[in-house]
Amino acid sequence: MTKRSENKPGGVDERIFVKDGFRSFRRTYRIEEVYWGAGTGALLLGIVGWVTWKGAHPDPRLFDMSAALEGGVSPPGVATPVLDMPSEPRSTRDGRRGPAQNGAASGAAEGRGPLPAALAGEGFHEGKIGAYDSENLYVKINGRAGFFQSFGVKSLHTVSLEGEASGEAPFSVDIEVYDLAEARNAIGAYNGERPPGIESVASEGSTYHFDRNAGFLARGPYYVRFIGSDESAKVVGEVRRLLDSFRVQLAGEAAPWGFSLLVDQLQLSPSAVTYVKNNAFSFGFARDVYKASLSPASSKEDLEAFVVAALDTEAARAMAKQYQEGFASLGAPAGPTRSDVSLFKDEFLGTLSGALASERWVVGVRGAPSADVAAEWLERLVAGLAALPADVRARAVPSVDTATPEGAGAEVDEAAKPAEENGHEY
Amino acid sequence: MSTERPKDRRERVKGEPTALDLEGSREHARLERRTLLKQAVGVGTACAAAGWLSLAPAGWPLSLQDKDGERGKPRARVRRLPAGGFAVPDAASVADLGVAHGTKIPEMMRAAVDAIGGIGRFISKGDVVVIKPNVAFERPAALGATTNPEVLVALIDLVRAAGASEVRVADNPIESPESCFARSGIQAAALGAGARLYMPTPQQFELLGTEGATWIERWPFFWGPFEGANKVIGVSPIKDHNLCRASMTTKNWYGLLGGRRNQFHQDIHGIVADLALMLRPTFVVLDATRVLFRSGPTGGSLSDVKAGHTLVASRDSLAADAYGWDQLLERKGEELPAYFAKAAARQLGQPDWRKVVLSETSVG
Repeated sequence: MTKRSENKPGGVDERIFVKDGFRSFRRTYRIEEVYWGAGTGALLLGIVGWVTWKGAHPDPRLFDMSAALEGGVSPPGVATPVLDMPSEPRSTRDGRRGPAQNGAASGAAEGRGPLPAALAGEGFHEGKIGAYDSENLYVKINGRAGFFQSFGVKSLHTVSLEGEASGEAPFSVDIEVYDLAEARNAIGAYNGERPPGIESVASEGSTYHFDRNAGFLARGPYYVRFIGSDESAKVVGEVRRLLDSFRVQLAGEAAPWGFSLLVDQLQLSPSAVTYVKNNAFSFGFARDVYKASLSPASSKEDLEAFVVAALDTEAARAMAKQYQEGFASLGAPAGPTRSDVSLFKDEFLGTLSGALASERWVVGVRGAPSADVAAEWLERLVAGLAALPADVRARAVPSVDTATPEGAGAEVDEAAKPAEENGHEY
Repeated sequence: MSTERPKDRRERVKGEPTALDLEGSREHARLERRTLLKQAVGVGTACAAAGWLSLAPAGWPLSLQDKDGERGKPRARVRRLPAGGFAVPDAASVADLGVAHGTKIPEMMRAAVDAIGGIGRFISKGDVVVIKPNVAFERPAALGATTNPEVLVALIDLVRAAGASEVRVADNPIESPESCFARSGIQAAALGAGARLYMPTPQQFELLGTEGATWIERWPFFWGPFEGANKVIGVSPIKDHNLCRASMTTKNWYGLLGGRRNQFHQDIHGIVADLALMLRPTFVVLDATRVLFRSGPTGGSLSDVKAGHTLVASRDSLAADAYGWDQLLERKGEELPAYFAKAAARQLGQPDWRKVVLSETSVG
């Protein structure tokens, strides 16, 4: 686009494309234009300066390593990365206590979970309360969390009863209440932690024992540990008092059906009976198994009887076949029992094992020294099942929890892979 | 260039253009086309360049793509521990494994360390020494889940007597550090013996690079106490462990990791072998004054703890741990946990303690 001009050769003036570089069409400017130009220039310079300064002084939050401390305090404005629980179970990194950690705050019922109110006996006071779920259980019991996760732990509530020491060494009793969703899980966890040779007491819906400085209780879906700091009379007395108190105050429920069968119906010792949630007898398929150790502790034999519930008779038959194939994989066929149940002889131990379906249950023996002993226990188990009260038979169903076993065969968490593999810088 | 007003110029240019005007106009049009083409090429090039910078995939040269903002973040520096770790030179004339039995802990500590060359071999005047106990749980020391505070005191005294200018005690329990350090007695012991206590804070963690590690090639590490330190000593209890079967001096370094380290439990033997690679200490002390022989690593019942009356000192964590497995946990004959073989395959120690020179003494 051009226009004629008397000031240029040829009379044509250039209005759009300015050939002579930075020269303006005008020789002068209004003073306010100069101010606007100067202001705009200053603003641009300011932006450049700000960007330069921010580059040299990055926000410390960009370097924040709070995640490195698993639940540590994040800087203001940044969400705490890990702990997400009804009551903060731990001190914060800067020494401040969580909201439910001191005596006054610990009385809040909403953070106590199944912990009964007013726990502390004479000479003790309640300290901090902690609440954890399956995901962050490791915060409290790192390295041991997997054990409880294998029993389907839902939550852990902890409280420390601190002794009111005056001029003497501090003493305390720590209480840990694991909610394992079902009584069978609680019994399984309890028995898993019970040392060999320690006898359990089963009474009014509770199974428990006391061991030097500590007490252990399975009641309803709860497994409770009372851990005294020492064996002094005041600590041991408090542990025993708490054990008795929890046996009354903690909500109980009917004994798991497998215990009704093995303890009530077959009159076996509660110390001999346990529940295995996963990988019973090292078989990956063997879950939800009640088993009883039938050999005396002093014996070299390792005879066990077991029972598993299936959904229906067809499922029970299929499951029994799985057990038979499992036992067969460890040895060779050893002929049938007098009631025509196939037995298998362990290649290394020389003992006999077998399983059969009875209605919608599978019963079996493992480690029998002879075919007669195996047959006797199989018959007792079948007869015991048939004689169970109707309400127990109705409860004798598979566990609703079908958790994948932890450990062998478990997939490695993607986030645990090295940075190069999972694509995260850090 | 005119400064006249457009209205004035329009009034003046009313006549027919002359031949000169037409020639000038054609010449000007030619010049304008050339200029336009040049400028169009310039603008096109600038647009293409801007398009490349903004749209090219992140890995391409000069790309400014940063969809998640990560490229714009400043790079966290990656720290590295000294090549060869904090070890001192070999000395052929001393034992590899110093074992002291007894009940008087200070004498046992001195005897165990003397057996591997004496504290003077390891600590020089002016050294800054990091001591790493196991303070993993909020448990009284009597329950065996944490390092015995008396053992820590004996070690600090020994190191200070050798002329260390500063002794730092550090661990990163996942549970509340304040509670763990207080309840275990480690805090009182460390401060009482004149050491500085390092509790974990976010600012003290930095990325550590460990070449050759499977899981922790770059991982948050409790760096604060290691800043300026030139000697590192581990002092750990001997414990049964639910996952890796035994927690001793090698597993003890786990307490220096940050991040979501609990996930490593899915390959516990792999991570313990990585820990042996990550930190090569000046020496380690296996605290077997108490032995948590079952229900580990947390314990709880005194029935799970037995008196061991033993301290083991060594530059070789694997040898010390293997001795602990056989002689103190009394699992002789059982296959060693898999992390021994994994660490030994990396030439990080001798998993057969019978193949190293052992000096065993009873004191007190």
